[in-house]
Amino acid sequence: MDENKICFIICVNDDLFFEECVRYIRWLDVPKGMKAEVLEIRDADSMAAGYNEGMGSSDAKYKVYMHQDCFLVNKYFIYDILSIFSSNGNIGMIGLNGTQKLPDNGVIWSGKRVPEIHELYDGWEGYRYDLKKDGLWEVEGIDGVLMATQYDIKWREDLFDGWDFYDLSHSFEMRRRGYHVVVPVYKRFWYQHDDKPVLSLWDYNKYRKIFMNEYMEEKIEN
Amino acid sequence: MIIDRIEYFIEHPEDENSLHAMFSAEERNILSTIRKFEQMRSCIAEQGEIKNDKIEDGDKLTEMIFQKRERERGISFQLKEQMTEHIDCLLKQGKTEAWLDILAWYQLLKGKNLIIDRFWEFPVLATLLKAFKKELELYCSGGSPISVLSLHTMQELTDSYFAIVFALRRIEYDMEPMDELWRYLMKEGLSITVVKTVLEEARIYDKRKVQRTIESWMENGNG
Repeated sequence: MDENKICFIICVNDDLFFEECVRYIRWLDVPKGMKAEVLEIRDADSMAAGYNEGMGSSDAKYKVYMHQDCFLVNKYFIYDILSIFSSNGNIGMIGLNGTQKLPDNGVIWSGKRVPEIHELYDGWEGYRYDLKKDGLWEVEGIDGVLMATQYDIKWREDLFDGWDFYDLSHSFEMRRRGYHVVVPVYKRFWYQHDDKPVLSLWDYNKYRKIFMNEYMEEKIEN
Repeated sequence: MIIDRIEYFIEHPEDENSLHAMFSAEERNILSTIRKFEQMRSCIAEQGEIKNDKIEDGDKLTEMIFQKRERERGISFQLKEQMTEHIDCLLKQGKTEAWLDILAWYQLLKGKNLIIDRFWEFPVLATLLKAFKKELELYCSGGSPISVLSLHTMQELTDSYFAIVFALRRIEYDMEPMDELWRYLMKEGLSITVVKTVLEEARIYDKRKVQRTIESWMENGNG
């Protein structure tokens, strides 16, 4: 495993979005001695299957699984996630949006999420995240828009063979292994998500039920 | 006008057969799907499956909302496909009248709350329709051309929308100068009115900053 490498793993089905996504990754500042690479996964059977393929193809210690329509606008993103991972070896995964307590129905947006909406303030361009000053939220689950890991754990493609709930599943798999899942308390957006302004969710309920069966009992026990 | 014909057709289902000649085969198919869709919704409501105010159990309510979504899946995709094909035919004409027809169809779907909140293409279309209306007004008052008429398919329309959003966001984050957006507009034959409308609607964090950049660029004799 190459400790000085970060790999951005992206399932792709839209070149217009993917090219824009990569443009932002290439724009990021890369710390001296670190290498950054992009791995595109085409024709994935599911998000979890695509991410397993990506995970198996990269020797980078740090992996960032992200959507093609997520654009990283925090120029110091790599610095910031490395500062978080190196601050605590028990942090397994970082997200940019999550929930501290997943609602009992398993629907992430029906409960309170972190962070809440940011207000625009003067001088936002000059703000930079500082782990000591800004801190972290410990969460139960994160949104799949971006999931950065420092440990490889197999994605549950055996259960989640579509495009929903792979993110909450991976959060719970991390926590099953004793790792913390966190979201940085950032004061300006780290990303913009052009997820096309509707939620179709045609198969959402099917995977919600699978998720509930697999994980909700242990959530209640904890 | 198509909107008058649609309104009459919707209000007088008993005249459906005699009104046959008022619509093309594609239009009749769309209207027939809309009618089926509405019948399905009313059937679901009658069965009491989604009377939210009577359901106190949150889990049951969640389940019912999702069940309704699942039941509407097939017909939603059917209507989306029919609408997209028809809109493509209208866009190909490149005429103001065709865009007015698209506007009427969009308003019909919006008024009946059908599919426009299920497929991302429709909110994008709504933004471009808004730009069309502004350009039409300018055309009527001063004769400036209606640039959105150069978009000939839904694919072109949505690609152009996102190309503009991406360019605006790059301006927001100082990744790229305004000139790049201008080059794109020149290539595609789209106007600054379209850009300003997209800016209003898109997920751009600091709209004022981007607006200022566009304005100062124009004041410097560009555009």
